[in-house]
Amino acid sequence: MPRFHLIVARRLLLLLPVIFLVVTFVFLLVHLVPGDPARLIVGENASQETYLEMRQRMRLDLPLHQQYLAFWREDILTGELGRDYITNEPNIRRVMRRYPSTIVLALSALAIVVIVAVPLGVTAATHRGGIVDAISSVVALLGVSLPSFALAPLLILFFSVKLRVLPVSGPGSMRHLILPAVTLGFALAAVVTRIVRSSVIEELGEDYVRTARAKGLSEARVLYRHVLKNSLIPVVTILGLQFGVLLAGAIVTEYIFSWPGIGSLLLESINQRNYSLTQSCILIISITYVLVNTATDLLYRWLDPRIKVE
Amino acid sequence: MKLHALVALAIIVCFLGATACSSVTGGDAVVIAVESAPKSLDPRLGSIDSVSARLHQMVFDSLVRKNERFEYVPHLAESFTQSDDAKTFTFKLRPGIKTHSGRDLTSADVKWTYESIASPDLKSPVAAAFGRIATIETPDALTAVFQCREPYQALLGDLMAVPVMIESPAGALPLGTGPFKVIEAGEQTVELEAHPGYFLGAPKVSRLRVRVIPDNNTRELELKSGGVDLAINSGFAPDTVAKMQTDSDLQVVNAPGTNIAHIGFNVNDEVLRDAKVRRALAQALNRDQIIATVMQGQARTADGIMPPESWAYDAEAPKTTFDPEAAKRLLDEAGHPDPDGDGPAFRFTIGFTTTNSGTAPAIAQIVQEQWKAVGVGVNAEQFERVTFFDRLGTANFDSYYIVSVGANQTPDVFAWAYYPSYWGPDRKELDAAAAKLSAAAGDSAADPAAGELMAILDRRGYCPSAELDSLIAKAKGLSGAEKRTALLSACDLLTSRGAGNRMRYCNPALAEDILKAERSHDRSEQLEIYKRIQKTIASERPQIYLWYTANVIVARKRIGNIDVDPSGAWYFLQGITST
Repeated sequence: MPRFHLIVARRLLLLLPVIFLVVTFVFLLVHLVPGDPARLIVGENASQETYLEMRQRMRLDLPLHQQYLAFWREDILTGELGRDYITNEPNIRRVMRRYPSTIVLALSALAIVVIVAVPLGVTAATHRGGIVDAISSVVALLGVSLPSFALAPLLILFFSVKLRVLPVSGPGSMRHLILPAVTLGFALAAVVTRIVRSSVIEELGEDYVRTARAKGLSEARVLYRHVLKNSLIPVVTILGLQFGVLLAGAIVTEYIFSWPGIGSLLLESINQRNYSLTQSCILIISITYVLVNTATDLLYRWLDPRIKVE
Repeated sequence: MKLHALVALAIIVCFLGATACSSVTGGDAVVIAVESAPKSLDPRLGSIDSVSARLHQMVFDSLVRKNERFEYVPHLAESFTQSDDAKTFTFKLRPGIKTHSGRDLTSADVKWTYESIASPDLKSPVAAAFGRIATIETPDALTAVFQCREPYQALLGDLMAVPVMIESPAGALPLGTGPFKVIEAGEQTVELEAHPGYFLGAPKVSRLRVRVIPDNNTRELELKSGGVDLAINSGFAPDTVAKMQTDSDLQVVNAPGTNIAHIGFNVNDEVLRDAKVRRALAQALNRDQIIATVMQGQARTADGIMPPESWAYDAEAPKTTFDPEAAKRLLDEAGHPDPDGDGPAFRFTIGFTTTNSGTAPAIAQIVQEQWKAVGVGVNAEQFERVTFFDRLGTANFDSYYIVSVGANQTPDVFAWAYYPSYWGPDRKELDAAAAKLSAAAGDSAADPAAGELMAILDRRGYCPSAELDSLIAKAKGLSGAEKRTALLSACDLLTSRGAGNRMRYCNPALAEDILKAERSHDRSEQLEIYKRIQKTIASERPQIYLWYTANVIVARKRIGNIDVDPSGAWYFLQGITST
């Protein structure tokens, strides 16, 4: 499929202006924040020479445009994304050390979404007005109205402090993954349940479903072989978009659960006014977002060849 | 997509999850929660964040340490001497100190630690400070002699901040001589193992695990659930600590600390420049009430910047007592009568700047009420930390509230807090010119830089100082390298002290005293000067001292022998027990 390669190549090329804009935007944004980051990093008791040295390391002694040029020349184009002001370690290494944890968390959340939402949505659609439908509505409402910073402590209180069946926070084992993944996936599961439900209901009314049933196919076959595949297109869209959000937006969840991912690193870097690390995290998150969206678009083609990706 | 395909995906994810997070650590370790990840376990990068500094205290030892009166005493060293000009320091190591690698510590390790700070690969932020050391000689295996290029009064303090490290292959875990050895260093956990050969005695617990848990609520829940055993000065709100005290599984140790909570005044303000007004505002504050309510008893009243434990503390310096009537009389005397007695009109109104986090907003509210009771209006303003410090740095405030951490454990705090730094509008130009001159040793760039610097100094924008005047006059008559040296000394006088003097407090006699004490090697003379400084400050009140915050340790009941000293250092972990 040569055209397929072309499409991928074109999408990847599109990354360049995205990176340029993100880099510029983030650079300006972090410099708009008031205050002296060098003083914050070295601490108020630091000597004058340590403080001046830090300003120089952060390039704060240069005018803004020179900082920006140096940022491109020494940080972006070298692929190091800058170096830590204290340990001198390239930021890219630090970000990449944290990234696998974020991917694991996002995939786990996604798995929870798929495992819970798809069967629940289908059941709600086939038993419209029934008890499952009612329950799924309530869960969906809870999911969209309960933010992760409220859900997480509740889950911890119940499962970790009261029942003591799951650890409170941190990485370590499979059991450590459950609460953050549920927290992260809960809101999305709620949305996806509703989408699957309405999408399945819509498909069930289509002519091809009547034909399939008339051919004498079993109801399960009709549902899972024919209806579900066609109902999944909007679900894939939302999952694709949301996977990017899961990767990027796990900040609160990672922070509460002390999960060593890129989200908690981003927050840490902002708190420490570590400009270059903040820039690195946002850049990597943006690139991931674009890549995941490209993959989503390509997945459409597989699900429905009528969709043109160009 | 079939259901079983989804299940398969889920299993793959679970597998991935299990493998990616497989750094499971077993054993019955004592788990300590910290709020942020340590920047580095390499002490040669300086103790730039507090968590790294605490970890360094457990893994490494320094040549000297502070005793309970905050005096420098030998630690790895058996004894040390300092020359009168503060240029030569000789340390005799204790024999038989075992390193984590099992061999004996020698003076070569000391030499390696402090010489490698200058290594360009390390890029240590403290390289400039240690650059004052010219050579480190090791005449024998237990003697290290530091020769400095210039008087290096702060060397002992710097040696405490950067303890001795043992050379290990690049990328390997750091080795020291401390009570614990690093056996694993991850992104969010550091695993430590007891060092049985520790020269002050092997620790009572075999393992420590330091876990990074940034969220206060999560840390609290971890303590309750037993996932964490200890949280040391962990940033919990005082009422959270009070609540945890009632938990039957937890214990709270509330020990005296030294971090000093205080209010500072902008002494250039038209009203606040009068010491009478500042004294009146001090008398109007009921500190005991704030300690009992907002602080929940987790603090002790302070009457000076130095903690009472310090050798340099002056117990006879005048104390402030809560006396609103006396405060009103003082304000009347200062020419600020209350226009309507107990009515709503104020004598005057001042701004009160704090951060927007922790207990600061609640404290601001109470201070506002207490000052209002003597007829002084308060505009309370709260800012995010960095903005707050920015306003402090640019004297953009009338009064501020802050807790200073660590600075007052040595008498250097007097220079830090009261010495008049250069805060003219051309400070940046001064720094730039000084940096240029300092870099231009003997080349042609030196002359223009010297000219620039002289022009700035000639504006006399500094707090009056006879020493500075004579240095500048002397520089004028000199040329070349001598001129450069004189000018750089003048800049040093203007910039290297007084970073904590946000009040812009300028008292030439006191500044002279600070320098005199710094240059003296006679302990009794120093003490006399420090007492004089504390008495002056007590009557001038550029700052009102409120309280020393307590060292608060929340622990599971299974942890015993928690004996933290006022410095808040983690040395006590060597002696804790676990059942």
